[in-house]
Amino acid sequence: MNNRDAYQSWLEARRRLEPSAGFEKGVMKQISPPGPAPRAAKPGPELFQRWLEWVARHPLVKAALLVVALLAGAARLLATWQIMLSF
Amino acid sequence: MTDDEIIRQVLAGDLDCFGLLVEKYQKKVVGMIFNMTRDHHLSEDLGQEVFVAVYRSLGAFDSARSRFSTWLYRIAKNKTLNALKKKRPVFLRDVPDAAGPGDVRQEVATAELHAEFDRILARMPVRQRLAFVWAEIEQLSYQEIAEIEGTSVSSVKSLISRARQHFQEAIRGQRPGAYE
Repeated sequence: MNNRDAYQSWLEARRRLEPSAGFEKGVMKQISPPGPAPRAAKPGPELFQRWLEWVARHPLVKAALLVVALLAGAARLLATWQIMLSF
Repeated sequence: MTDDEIIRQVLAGDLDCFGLLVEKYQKKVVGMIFNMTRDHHLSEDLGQEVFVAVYRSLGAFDSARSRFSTWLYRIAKNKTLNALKKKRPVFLRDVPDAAGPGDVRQEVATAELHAEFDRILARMPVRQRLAFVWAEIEQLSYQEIAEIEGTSVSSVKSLISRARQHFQEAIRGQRPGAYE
């Protein structure tokens, strides 16, 4: 068996991993009554959350926002510096 | 029955239907956790925690926003990353001594390579390791991994490509312990 075959057999071995036979029973036992029932959906800041997720998926937008934040910070520093100089 | 239909049944009070979801996804969830943590007990315990958490927040799941599998894998990922922060470094088994003629020698050589691949995986940065496990071991699509990770497909491809490079070096025999 060469290295490439060994790599494939390693991947196959990793894919064969199975949970133990009692796994499903264990889960069902934990969620059986009188355990807590599924919660109703909570209203949340959904629009903002979606916007954050959208930004996270777009590296260019993320970079642009970072640049804007840096420029805003620099402008703020400059303004503070000018105020200090005026004294 | 589709995942959405099962979820509707569970929310309507048919608890047993939740078992169908556990049965369908337990292998991928526990497999991913094990390949990230290399700890059988932890992967089963965390796997159960994942499904219990999924059951408890099932009412909050919105099928218009994502597939159930994506939502479930995201919960599994978060629980795994939290556990990894608390966990001691992974101990991997020692490489067996290379000795013996014929098939035994071949088996030892293969076991050595498997141990080397385990070490390579364990040493990878967490995000790279997770992307590799999802793609190469659990065989999820790049699109689904991107949705789980909340990132772009190109970022996922880049993570996986970097992860594969580590293995390529071992396959070409450029790492100690790996040979043709």
